[in-house]
Order: sequence, then structure tokens, then C-alpha cells
Amino acid sequence: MSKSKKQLEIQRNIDLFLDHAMHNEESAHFMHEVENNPEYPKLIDQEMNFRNFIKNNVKRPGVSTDLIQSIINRIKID
Amino acid sequence: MPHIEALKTFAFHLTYNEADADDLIQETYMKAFKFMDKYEKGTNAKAWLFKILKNAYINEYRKKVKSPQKVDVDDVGLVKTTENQNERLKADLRDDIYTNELGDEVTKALDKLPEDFRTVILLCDIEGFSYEEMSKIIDIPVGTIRSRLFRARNALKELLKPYAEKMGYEDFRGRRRSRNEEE
Repeated sequence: MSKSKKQLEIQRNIDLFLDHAMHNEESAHFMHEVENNPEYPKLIDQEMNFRNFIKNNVKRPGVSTDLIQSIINRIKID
Repeated sequence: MPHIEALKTFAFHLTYNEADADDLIQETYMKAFKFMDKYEKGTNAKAWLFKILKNAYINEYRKKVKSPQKVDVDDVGLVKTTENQNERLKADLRDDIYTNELGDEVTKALDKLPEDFRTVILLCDIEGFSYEEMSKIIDIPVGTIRSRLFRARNALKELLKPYAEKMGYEDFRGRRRSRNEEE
């Protein structure tokens, strides 16, 4: 397997692991690789940092009380 | 109102507009209320509301944007209305600049992504839905969710690369190093 293909596979596995989308067997195999490859924990950390960075910095517009009241009023009418 | 903040974030990043996002949210709760009997007790209510919102966006909002309301050109109020709308737009943009909202690099990068990519990032990385839940919300197979999410994250990392470098990071995927370490 070429280096770039291997890197893609590692990235995919890290994604699945962090998304809790691995089956038990896959997860056990992945954990074994993590324990035997010192690069893995670093890469997992980087991916987690990236996700936290996105989550903490995405714009979350506020919800006005007018909107909530308007929904309540419409539900009452219906 | 359950999950309204999360729905607002999702609706805002689909429409890029707070007023349209609010309309979508109203529509979502009206539909949820109307079709309450279709909700299966014990299932994820948040995912159910997100699915209603996504469908309302596809079926109603997109149609509305594609076929804007027709206006009679002989209507004497037309010019005045257009001027008012332009003024309102300018005022909104000024508000955005004053509150620094246009300087938000993450939001700008996210909004540059194609809608399909943006949707999976919002559902998974912002709202924490599982692949199975996302598959139900947007009606695509889990395998497609997996590959779309992978491509979407890489596209987002690529868009944020210049910003990350400016902030002293080499690459989100590569080795992380501060400017001090480089000097």
C-alpha cells in the first residue's frame, strides 16, 4: 500500500473511531494499532482539536423570545 | 421549546439568513405539532425535529427561493419598496460588521462548503448525531454518510488552512507548530 493510501486509511479509521462508528472487532483492532504506533495518539489529538475548534467557533445565532411566542401563538390558533 | 437553539443553528447555516431560519423553525414546530401522532415514543425527538426541518427546507424554502413572488411592474409602490429593501440590506450588513460577525472564519468556511457537505458537518460535528441518525434525517445510506463526512471534513480543513497558518498552525492534519517554534 502506498504512503498516501495508508495515510488516508489512517485518517478514515480515526474518523470512524472518534465518531463511535466502529464495530467491536474493528475498534479492538484499531486500539491495538494505536498502542503500537506512537503517531496515532498525536493524530487522534489533532483531529479532536480540529473538531473542538469547529464546534466552539461556529456561529450560533440566538433565539428571540418573539420567535418562541410566535410559535406558541400559532400552535394555540391551530 | 425543546431543541430550538440547535434547530436555529442548523436552519441558519442552511439559509444564511436569520429571518428565513426563523420561518423554517416556525414551520418545523407547526408540522411537529400537526403530525405528533407520527412520532414514535422512545425514539430520538431531536433527530425527528431535524428531519422535519430538513424536509421543510427542501420542499418549501428551496421552492420559494427558486420562484420568487411575482410583482406587478405597474405597481406604483415598487420603486419605493425596492429602495426600502436595499436600505434594510445595507443596515443589516452594517450591523454584521459592527458585531464582527463577518470576521468569523469558521462560519465563513463552513458556509462556503456545498450544501451536502455542510449538512453532514453540522449534524455530526456540531450536533453530535450518529451515522444512523443522520442517515434517517437526510435519507441517504450510512455508507454515503461516512464517505461524505470524510470528504466534507477534508474540504473544511482545506478552506481553513490559510486561517490556521495565519494563527500559527502548519496544517490541521499535519504537524502542529507555533510561530515561536519556527523562529
